[in-house]
This record gives sequence, C-alpha cells and structure tokens, in this order.
Amino acid sequence: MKKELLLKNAVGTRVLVLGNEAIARGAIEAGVQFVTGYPGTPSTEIMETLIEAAPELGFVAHWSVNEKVAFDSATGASFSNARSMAIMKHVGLNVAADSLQQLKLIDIAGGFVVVSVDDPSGVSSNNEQDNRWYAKFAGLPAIEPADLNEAREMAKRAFEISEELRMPVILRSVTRLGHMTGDLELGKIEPKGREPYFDSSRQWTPFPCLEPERRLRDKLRHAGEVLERYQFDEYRGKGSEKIGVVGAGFAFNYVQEAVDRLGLGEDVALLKISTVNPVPSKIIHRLLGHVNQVLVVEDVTPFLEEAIKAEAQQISRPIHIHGRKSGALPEVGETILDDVVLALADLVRRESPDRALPDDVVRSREKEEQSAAIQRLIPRRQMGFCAGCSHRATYYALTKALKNVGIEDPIVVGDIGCYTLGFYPPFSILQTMTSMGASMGTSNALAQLNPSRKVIAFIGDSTFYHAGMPGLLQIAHQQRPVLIIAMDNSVTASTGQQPHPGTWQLADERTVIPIEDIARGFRIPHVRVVRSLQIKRLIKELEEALVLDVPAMVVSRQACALEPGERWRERTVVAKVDAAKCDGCLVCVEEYGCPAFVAGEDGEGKIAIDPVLCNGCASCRAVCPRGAIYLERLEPHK
Amino acid sequence: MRQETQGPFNLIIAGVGGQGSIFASQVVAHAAMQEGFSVRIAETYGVTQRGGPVYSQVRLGRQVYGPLIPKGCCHLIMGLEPIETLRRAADYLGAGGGVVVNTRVNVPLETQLGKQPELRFETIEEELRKLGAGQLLAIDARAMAEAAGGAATTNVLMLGAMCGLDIFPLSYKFVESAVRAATRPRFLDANLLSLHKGREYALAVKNANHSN
Repeated sequence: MKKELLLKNAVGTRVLVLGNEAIARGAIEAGVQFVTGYPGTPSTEIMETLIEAAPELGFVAHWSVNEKVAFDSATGASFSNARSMAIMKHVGLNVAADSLQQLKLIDIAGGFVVVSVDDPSGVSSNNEQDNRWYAKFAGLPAIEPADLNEAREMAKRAFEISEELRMPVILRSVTRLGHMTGDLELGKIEPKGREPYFDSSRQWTPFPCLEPERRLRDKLRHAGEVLERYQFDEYRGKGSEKIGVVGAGFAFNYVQEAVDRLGLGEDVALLKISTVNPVPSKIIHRLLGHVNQVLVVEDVTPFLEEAIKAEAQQISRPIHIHGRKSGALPEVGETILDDVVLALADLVRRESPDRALPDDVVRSREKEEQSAAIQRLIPRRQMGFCAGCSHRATYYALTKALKNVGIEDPIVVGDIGCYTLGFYPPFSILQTMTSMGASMGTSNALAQLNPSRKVIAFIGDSTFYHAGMPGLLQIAHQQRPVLIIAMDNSVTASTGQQPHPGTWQLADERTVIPIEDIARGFRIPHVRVVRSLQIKRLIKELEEALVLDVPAMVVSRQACALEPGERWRERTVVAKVDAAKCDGCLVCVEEYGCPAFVAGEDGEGKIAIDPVLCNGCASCRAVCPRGAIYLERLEPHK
Repeated sequence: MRQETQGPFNLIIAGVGGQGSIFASQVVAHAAMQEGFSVRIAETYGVTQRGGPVYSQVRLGRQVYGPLIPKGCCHLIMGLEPIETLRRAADYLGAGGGVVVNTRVNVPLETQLGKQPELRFETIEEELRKLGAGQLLAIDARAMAEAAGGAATTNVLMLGAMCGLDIFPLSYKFVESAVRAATRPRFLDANLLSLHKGREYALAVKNANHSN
C-alpha cells in the first residue's frame, strides 16, 4: 500500500515511511531519470524503493557492483543531460572519492545528486566518519535534512541546485533519519523535462586543472547565494537572548525537544542549519549578533562548531562556543537527547545562575545507580548467524579441516559482510578485518611475510565483486599461496538480499558471472565449488586446499537462509532431537551454535530444536557425535 | 488519560532479532496514524539484528520531534523476550510505566554454555517491579500463540495483550485494521485469532484483579 502511494501524484497525502523512502520520493518528485548505488546499511532502502518504482515511472534504476562504478555511471547519465543520483553509505563515498574529486571540476549537464547516509556510532559500520568533510574537502555544495518532509524536499531541490550551479550536490543524511519511520506529506511529482543527449561539441574533462580549480572557487562562492534562496536554514529568536542553540540537520530535533523539556522556549534563540557547505555565515551572524553562549549540536564531528567558532572571530565581544570539541557534548557517538538536555542545562546555569530549571528532566543519581546495577545482572547477548546460514557451516568445516591436517597457527583474514561474525564465539576464528575487499591485498602480504604459516582469506560474494577482484589478481600474479574461501550466498546478504552479478536465482543466465569463472580466468591454479551445507564434503575439499603451496580458492556456495521459502525455497523439513540418543554433551551448541538449539529446557540438560526457528537446512546432523538429530517432514503450509 | 503537555506517548518494543518487533512497531504506527497522531519510530536494521538484542522506540503525539525516547521516560514496554525487556526497562521505564512481557526466556549462547550466569524470569519480574512498573502483565505468549494462530504469531498475540492495558493509547479497532493491512492473506486468520486471544487474556487478568 505504501509503495503504491509513493508512486502517486497524491499531493498532500500523509503516508508512513522511512527517512530513506522520503529521500526516494524526493528523487521521484524531481523527475529523476537515472539512479544507481551499492547496498550499504543505513542507505539501502533508498535504492530499493527507487528500483521498485522505476518500471512504472519510466526511469533507470539498478544496483552497481560498487560505489565508484555507481558514481561513474551517474556521471555518464549527467553527461547525457539526465537527472541522476548516486546513493551510498558513508564509507561507500571513500570508494567513489577519486571520481568525486575530479567531477567537481567539470561543468555537468543533468542534475547530479550524491546521497551519503552517515552512520553515527557505527551501528552497522566499522567507523562513524563524518562525510560533511567531503563537501568541504571537494568544495561541493551539501545539505542535510532535519526531518522526513525536509528529506523529501531537499532530495527534490538538490537537482535544481545542481543544474543551476552545474556541479554535483551532496545530500547528507544519518542512520537515525534514514531508519526513522514517520509520517510524510507527499509533494508534486514534476514531469521529466530533459531529453537524454550527449553533447560532443565540448570536452568533459578537468584537464588541465588550474582553470577548472579557479572556476570551482567561484562557483562555490555563488553556491552560498543560491542555497540561501531555498531557506533550508532557520533562525528562531527575538534578537535579545543570551543563549543560542544550534542544531545541524537531524540533530535539530534534539535541540527542539531539549528546549521544550527544560521549558526554555522564550529564553534561548534557536538556529537550524541544514546548509553544510558553504557554511551559511549570514544567518549564523544573526545569532552571533546577540548571544554570549552557543551550544552546537551535531553528528559526528565538530564540523559546524568549528565553523561557528571561526565566524565568531569576526566579533569583538567574547562568545563562548560549546559542543563536541569543547567537551560539552561527547566527542564520539551518536547525538542523544539526554546528553543535549544536560549540556543545555549546564549552559543555562552558567549564563543565568538564578534561572530555575525543572528538576525532573535529569534522572536522579539513585535512578542511575539502580539502572546500572540491573544492567550488571543482564547477560550479554551477542549476534550470531541465522538458523540455516551457510557461513556457520563453512566456519565449522574450516575448524575441523584445520584440525584434521594439523595446522595450529593459521592466519585468518576476514572481510566485510555477515561473515564478519566469525570474530565472535563459537568460532572466534577471524583475526583481521578492515575495508571492503581488503582481505585480498592483506592476505597477499601476510603470506609473503609469514611464509611458515598458512594464510586463509574469507571474502563474501558481493564483497568479491565490489573490490576483491583486483586483490585476487595480485595474489594470482604473484602466485602467493593464500587459501581464499569465497562465502557465496548469492546475494548481498547483510544489507537485505540485494542481487549482484553472481545472483543466479534472478538473472538471465548470460548476465551471471560466477566467482569461480573469474578465479579461473585469473589463473588461480586450484578452484573448487562446494555446497556449504554438505559439511563432510566441504571439510574434505578444505583439507585438500589447505596443504597446497599455490593460490587456491574454495567457493562455499549456498543461498542466504533469509531468502525465505516465500521466494526461492519452501521449508520441507525441520530438525528434531531424539531424546533417547542425546546425552547432553552440548557439542552442537559449543561448536555450531545454531540459534534454534535450546539447551536444558527438559530439566535433564538435553538439547531440543525450536521448530519455529529451525530453517530445515539439515546441516546440524553432521555435527552431533551421537547421531541424535533427525529430520521430520513438514505438512505443506504449516 | 495522559495530558498532551507531557509530550508524546513513548513505547518500546524489545526482543531478539527475528521475533517480529519491526512488524509490531509498524502496526502500532499505522494504528496511531488512523487515530490522528504523528508518529516517529527508531529501530535498527541490517546485520545488527541477527539474533542480537533489538528494540524499537515508538513515539506518538500531536507533535513529535526525534524518535529517541529520553532515559526514564518510557510509558509502556512490550517485551517479546524477558531479558531484553529488563535491559531496556532498566534505562527507559518511567515511574508507573506499564510492561507487558513474554515469560519465555531466550537463553543467550554463552549462558547455555555456562559461561555467564542464568537470569530466570522470576528475577526479571522482581526487578521490573522494583523499577516501579505500574501495570505489569506477564504472559506465556508463545504457549498461548501455539494454541491460537501458531507459534509464529507470538508477536501479534503480545500486541493484542498490550491493547488490553489501560495505559495503551490506541483503539483496538485501529490496531486490528492495521494488522489486517500488514498481514499476507495466508496468515491473516492466524494473526487475527492471536491478536484477539492476547487482548482477551489481558482483559481477563484485569477483571480478575478488579474483583479481588
């Protein structure tokens, strides 16, 4: 129902959506013609929504193999005079950064919007980098929305701004907005006004760069005036307040709520800043003109705090600027309301010691202590692989194979994807992990410098296509004896099962490029493909590959278990435990750790298998030393 | 009934990845829209949810800013799993707040292996009371769901039970129609049956308490 509404020109209709869907709707309203991206939490749902909408609304939308390819494709679309969008998570922009730093120097044709969804606290990421710095670094205009309606509106207007300035515009969002559900009011869908056409009468290159570099500075100065017209920033004050509170983009929500909770509505001036770059100095000076204290609330780094501090230098009167840098707010981690309330209360006490504040906004020390005492009682619950996940089978098989061939000190390199959970029990087998595809280059050097030890590199299918291929070429070229285990579950699983060039279930056969074909093309001398859940065979293949002194690849292949019966596979069996055979040894829990195992509920310490969680993959039969696990056929649709 | 001046109504749905907390929060949000409220929900997606702790923060009101609930300001917690209920209640439950909690503990792997102490439901219930829970409804939702629409409808049965609490601000008819809209036809009867059973149970407990 929601998806249908997102395609309709139903102006003013209220619909419940994710922040990411609001951005997609904004692109639709702008009449976007070409969108692409690479899946990455917290940005994925933007593309998913647009891919769903594309056939009906008649625009191009597809996943790319990585963010650089996505960015370059959107560049080609913009050069073809089409409105284009490239969508990625914050770290994805690192992959596309080379292209970003060149394209900024070229007068583009069709509006080009780069969407970067940052992940404060690294909820689903290795870092919490703040991509507002990319806007400053590259010298590109950037804006960040504070709520769902702004997300839609800014995504829409970004195309116009890009076309007026003839430069890409960065739309910065954050996890909390992208994955917030709320009510959005729909705007008008504009008709597509541009015919795709590539103009061969000019050159589309920044080389030689000095003249384009000069023009970039001019354009950026002009960008300030253009952005000001859109009034994305907002000042709320009387001009006499001594305290000002500034919120950057989504963080402005916390500013408003903190002011409400402290009952300061009449006594502080508020400033919402949604223009990231260039910094909107005019409206900032409206605030600086009358305040003594400023609290800046923003995710993740003191980007705006430093900018406002620089602006305050122009004023002779001392103005104290507080935020993440000054220590008023935590230096790392996502902005949370409780911290903003505390920081603002502190500021008020400092500026107006006589001002009464409500005493119930901050939890009492006793409450905090009670809460901490309870938290100490609560057991840890770590993430683990889903029931039926092929990664569990592969890690288990490697553990056994290493033991069988007597390798005691392997170096095991990980990469980005669900299989990163191999760092945690019950396997605790991975030793390194950095960025997408890094396992290839890293293992190459580890093998060179640690010749007496076996180096094993794990890489997922989507990660392999994304950035693993060049590193594998290096391993092949240098004939380094790394064992590469490709964890091929046929989709980009950790972001929600998006397809890629190895997805055999959906694509036309001609469009499927299996990993093993690439490895053989790269002249990896030993390449094998095994079904992950056939554990005994997988162990044998790994034993064979582990003792080779040449580059080797074992592709462990099984569709992601979250591709539920609804789509590709119907669960036909569930695993059961024969209580007469189970002796409660717990080997299955200790070595395999499937979430469907339930220990000790019978009071005798035996294992049971939860019939709801069991995915019917049958792999656990190979794990039980007593042969106590058997399969029971299910009635259809039960 | 609550006063709007207190800010939005704050609800947390806590559980373990895969228990259906997102479905439940979406149902509440759609019902709230029909009731005329503005809605903000914060939840975690992606690899973060695989078997790990998950919780949705749901805020309803005439004006809602961000989706994050301040510590100690949650009016109601719906706990699909008791350990996860206590984990959130410790930080968020406000004085006199309501709790509806499934009694079935999902034992963490490290506890199963004896590497950390067990936390039993009785202890969890006691701690929830010490935290000042107003209404506390404990319910063996899994067993009740198995007898109604099937084990997979446990989350919907809990939704139904929540509808039976005095503090819950939305009409049952809107929740029911939101469940209808969100459920695939094949599972509709099962979900509606469990929703109904959950509410019936909560109302029966309330009446029993009143007559005592």
